[in-house]
Amino acid sequence: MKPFLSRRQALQEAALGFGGLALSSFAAWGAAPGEHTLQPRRPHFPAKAKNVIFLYVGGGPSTIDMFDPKPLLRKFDGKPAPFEIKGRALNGSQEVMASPWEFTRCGKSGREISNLLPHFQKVVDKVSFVRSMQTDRIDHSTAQFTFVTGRGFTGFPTLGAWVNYALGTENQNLPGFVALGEGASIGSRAHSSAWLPPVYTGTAMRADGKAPIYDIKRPEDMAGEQQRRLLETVNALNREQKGGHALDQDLEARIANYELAARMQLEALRVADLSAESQATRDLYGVDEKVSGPYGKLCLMARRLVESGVRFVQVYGGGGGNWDTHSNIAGQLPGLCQYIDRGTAALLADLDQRGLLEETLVVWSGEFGRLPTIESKNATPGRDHNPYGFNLWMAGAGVKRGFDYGMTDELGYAAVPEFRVGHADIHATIQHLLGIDYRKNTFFHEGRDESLVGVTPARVLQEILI
Amino acid sequence: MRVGLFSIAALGAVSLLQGQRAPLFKDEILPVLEKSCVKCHSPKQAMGGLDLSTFAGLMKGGASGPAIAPGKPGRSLLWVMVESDKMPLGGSLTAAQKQLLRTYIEQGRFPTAEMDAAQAAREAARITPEARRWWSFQVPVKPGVPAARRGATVRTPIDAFVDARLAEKGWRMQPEAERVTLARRLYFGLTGVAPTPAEMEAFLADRTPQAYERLVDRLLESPRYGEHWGRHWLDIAGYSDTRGDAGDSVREVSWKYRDYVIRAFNKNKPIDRFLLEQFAGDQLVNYEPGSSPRPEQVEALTATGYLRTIADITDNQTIYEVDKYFDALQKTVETSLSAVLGLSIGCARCHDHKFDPILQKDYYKLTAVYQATWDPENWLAANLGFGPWPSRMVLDIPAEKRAAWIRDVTSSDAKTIRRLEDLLEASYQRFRAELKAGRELPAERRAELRRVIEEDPDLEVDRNAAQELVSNKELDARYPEFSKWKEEIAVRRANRRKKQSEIDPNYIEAAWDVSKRPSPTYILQRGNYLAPGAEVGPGLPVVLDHPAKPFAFPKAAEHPEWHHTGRRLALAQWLVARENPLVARVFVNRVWQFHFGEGLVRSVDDFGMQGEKPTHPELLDYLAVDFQESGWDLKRLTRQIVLSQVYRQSSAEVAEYLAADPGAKLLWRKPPLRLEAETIRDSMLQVSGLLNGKMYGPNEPIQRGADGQWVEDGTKGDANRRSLYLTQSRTRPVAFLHAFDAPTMTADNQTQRFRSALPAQSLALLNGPLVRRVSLAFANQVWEQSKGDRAAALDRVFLAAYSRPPAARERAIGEQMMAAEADPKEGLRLFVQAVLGANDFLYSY
Repeated sequence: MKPFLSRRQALQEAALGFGGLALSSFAAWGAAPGEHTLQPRRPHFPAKAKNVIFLYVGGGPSTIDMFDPKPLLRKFDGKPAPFEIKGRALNGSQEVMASPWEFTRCGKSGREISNLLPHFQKVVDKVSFVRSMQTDRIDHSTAQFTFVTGRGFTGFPTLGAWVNYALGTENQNLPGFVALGEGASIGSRAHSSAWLPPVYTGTAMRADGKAPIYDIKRPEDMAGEQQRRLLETVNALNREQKGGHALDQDLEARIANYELAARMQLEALRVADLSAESQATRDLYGVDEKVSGPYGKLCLMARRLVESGVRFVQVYGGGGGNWDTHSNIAGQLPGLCQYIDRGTAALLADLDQRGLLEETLVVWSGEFGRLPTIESKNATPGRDHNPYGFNLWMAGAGVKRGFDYGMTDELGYAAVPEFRVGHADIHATIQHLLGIDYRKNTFFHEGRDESLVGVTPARVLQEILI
Repeated sequence: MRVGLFSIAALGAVSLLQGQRAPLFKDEILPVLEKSCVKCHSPKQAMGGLDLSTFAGLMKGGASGPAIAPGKPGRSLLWVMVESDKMPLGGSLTAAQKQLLRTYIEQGRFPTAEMDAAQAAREAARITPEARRWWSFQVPVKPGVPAARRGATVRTPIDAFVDARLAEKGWRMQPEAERVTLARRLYFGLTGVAPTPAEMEAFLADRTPQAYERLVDRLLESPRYGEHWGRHWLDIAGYSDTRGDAGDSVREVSWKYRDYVIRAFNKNKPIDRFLLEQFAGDQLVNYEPGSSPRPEQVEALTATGYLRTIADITDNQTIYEVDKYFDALQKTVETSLSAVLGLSIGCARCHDHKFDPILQKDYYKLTAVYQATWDPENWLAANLGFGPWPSRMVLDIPAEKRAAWIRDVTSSDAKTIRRLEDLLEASYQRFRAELKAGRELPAERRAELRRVIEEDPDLEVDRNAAQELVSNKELDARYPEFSKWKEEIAVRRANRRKKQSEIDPNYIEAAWDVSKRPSPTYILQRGNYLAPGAEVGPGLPVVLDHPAKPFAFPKAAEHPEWHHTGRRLALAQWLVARENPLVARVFVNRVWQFHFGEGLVRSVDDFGMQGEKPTHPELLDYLAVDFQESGWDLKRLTRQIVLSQVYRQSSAEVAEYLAADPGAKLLWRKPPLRLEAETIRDSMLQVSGLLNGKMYGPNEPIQRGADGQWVEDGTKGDANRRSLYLTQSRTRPVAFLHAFDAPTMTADNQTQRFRSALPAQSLALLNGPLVRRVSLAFANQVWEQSKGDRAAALDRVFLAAYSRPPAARERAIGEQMMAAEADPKEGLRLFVQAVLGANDFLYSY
């Protein structure tokens, strides 16, 4: 593979309209010696969204039990479906299962939201649903790869990396792309830059005020004063050692990097310090609650990160257990919903009241949904994967409030064809809101101009945009 | 809006893969035909002579003529009939179904005779005489060595070629680097570990003119050399210790291939043989699949680990895996071949290469070479996790012991353990039910209940059942027999685990032809396995093949004694043949790149038309031909390079040259290089006296450290071994190495390291667990050796870390640091950490 473009190549390509990006900030940020920096860059056209918070609920959340009630399920409950349901053909059945939960009509938009999500019910007017999502992958890993990289296989850069590549980030003392929490079964590949330069890769952060990033915390056996001296000494040695290489930018960058690391240490610890928030805010996110606390912290931290100028925050929502409810969905889904509900709703409300929702795009989705039929036909049935039709929602910058796009059939099985939306459409739409022309955000790799969307047909989902 | 329930749902499901593009026959069109047409137009009935149950039938048409005129719905009988609702009889297609058929007729791809001819013409047009004349497709000829300028230092032919280009500008190479710098460069470049003070002293003490040459010879014989250069090759091969499946499972015996590579470099195995073994070791030794390998076959089989490095997510055996099979097959073709051909053939998976004269057909001809090994219609699981599934592992056990060994493994306790677990779970549930019903169980009742449960042959339990009101824990507390039961399960499990971990080393992860008659290879339209086009056999890319006499792959049927197709071996022999224009050039260029940071062709993976042309074409050809003539002798090539003045010159900046040629393309200096991640870690361990030089064997385990980062797990296995022995995971990279750009192989392979300068590196050097641990050991050792003498301690620190005594100002900085601490030893620890974090430690100048 090819590490990165030489400066000459990059300049040549800039002249040819390389992604149309204004690469005016070359080497401006001392931290990066190469041509690739996180210095903010102008978008292709005026952006609606400055930042993105991507709430990624891996495992296949059952959106028909959460946001998308289907009255017909009741009618066919326990009976064979009126048409063929294709599952994975392992433990699948044709027997319909009604949602075990009640739905309540909420907000001005009057949409019905499951009572499993009491907090989300209160903020539902802020979001637009895409109710006709479809993916061409039926198992977790390939669907998750598709969801974040546009390809069903390992080895491609993720959405956050592409966004950072295009736009850089506002705050040079923090990473531009942060991944919070755990729960994607494909692991760190869900926020990898693959063959894009490593500067664009997602940095794993934790909602731990003491050690939010690897190596960010001063070792316990080193006093603050000692660390300051250590830093000064490294820099003093580096100045002594420049010898015959006074013009070397790489060596210069390394000196600047120590300063940057010191600033990052302060900045990252500051952002991760949730105790700086008011009690009212902490309560809103439920950070002190047992079940909702862990995810509430991630959501609160996501807000603090975008507030501090981080471009792209990916929050994994799998930490509360396994959304892959093949069996005992009645036993498992309430706890899973409880795990994410409060934090998710708090994030939307909090961003809104601070005026941040105007510039921050929030996206919520799993890699696929779940079938309206029963899997594991026993005392505690579940639902199998459903890539044919599921829900996703978006809120914030440039997205309509309280709008619904598309639908699935009356059992919630398959997206109605004329409304079908694939991940490429979502990737195009997110980039569009950030002011990026998804067709022009390309990187020359292995003999071709690669992009996130690639050759998959895609369109910007104008219907849900303001 | 009210939608028709049945039709929409049915369409939604069948046209899953349909977007805006042309529909696919098998996936989208056939279901519609099957539903509405095939009842009358089947092979059995074929009303009107028309059979619509297959693609061939559709294309053949019926008594009234062809059913489809590609691109012309109006002239397609099929469309005319359904559009007017004349067909299907007694009904009509929905608007959506009609639209689908129409789009298919308009945009679908149909292999008609005209289209085939058009395709052939297009292909011919791509392989123009100019394309054939592209520089890297010409067999290299050894050029004459240019005459050197007066006063130029010419130690090897390399210098003459480089000087000739510098002369065009009136520039000169730099004088030889200072001895310490040069020796360090050599240690880092050949062994990947900093020299010890004693080694440096010995070198400096040798004042003879052959001192440097002797050092070169000594380092080429050091076992460290094979580890360092083996690591380079593992990058090119895309080596990883995890599979890249959903959970990124650990490959238990991947290290055998790693060890093969290290040994090959240390033994100076001729590179042509090295490539032959990796591409076709199984065929070289005519390995019979399923048999116990004979001792002399083991090495060659292990070498085929080269074809096993791509992320293989096919371990999860379900019916939806076929596209993953194709992906594994194709990635193996692309990665293994681009590594040696320096062409990005992956573009041609979906269409003819846009820039290079590589046809889509070429891509699938190469795929056919591998098809018998990774056969999508005869698939082997990557691992052993699926019991009876055939797997891609060779069991290296002598034939006479084999049966007993298999019996021992397969008669494992798995069933017993499972049964015990079921019994336990069922007991929990029954006991819970009794308790909830308010019936405390007396001992005899418990025994009875347990017997009933145990005797139930059809026992079924739900492991996810809710533990309402009474938890399992509470039951454990109340009934002591549960704990005993659990203990028994735990003991059996532990035994089984132990047994399994002991047997793993008997396997080899190899590649072999699953059968002599692989399934046919089709050109996949747009790379989609659901849209197979024409069938192709094994062959070379047209542009690299002889125009009149195409390369003939063997016919396995003519060799009854073969256990394989012979295709990969034939390909490998073509790769290392003297007439192959690319392989030696690409290999030599990679070697050059590892020494100088950039290749003579800077785009090391692209010798095609999008790549950069060589900066020194004659030098490249000279080295490539010379390398072939020497019998692909890598140590000889390396010696040639490191003995040259080009390599030995100083890295000092010359402002005028730097302004005109910042990347030193003309090689007017040896560019300074930030060391690779492994070299930094290994050298840290070396200077602090911690390095454990143990070679070979299973990977050292990794674990999560205090702040969540992955670190080596020194508590298990051996601590402080060289980095290439640490488990190299695609998703759980050791944080320190990852920060310094060690590859995770998430994208196939990594032929050139990033040399980034990111703040994560500074953080790792300020706060990371490795540097703290190493600094402590380093400081303790130095303090002890210098018996508390600060000046002597500083001398030792600099000699160990930088191979030189401190400069006056550096010494002052060190003394200041020690003075600032109440405990000078603590001050020394901080100071050595600063020394390890400064540029003189991280760079090879």
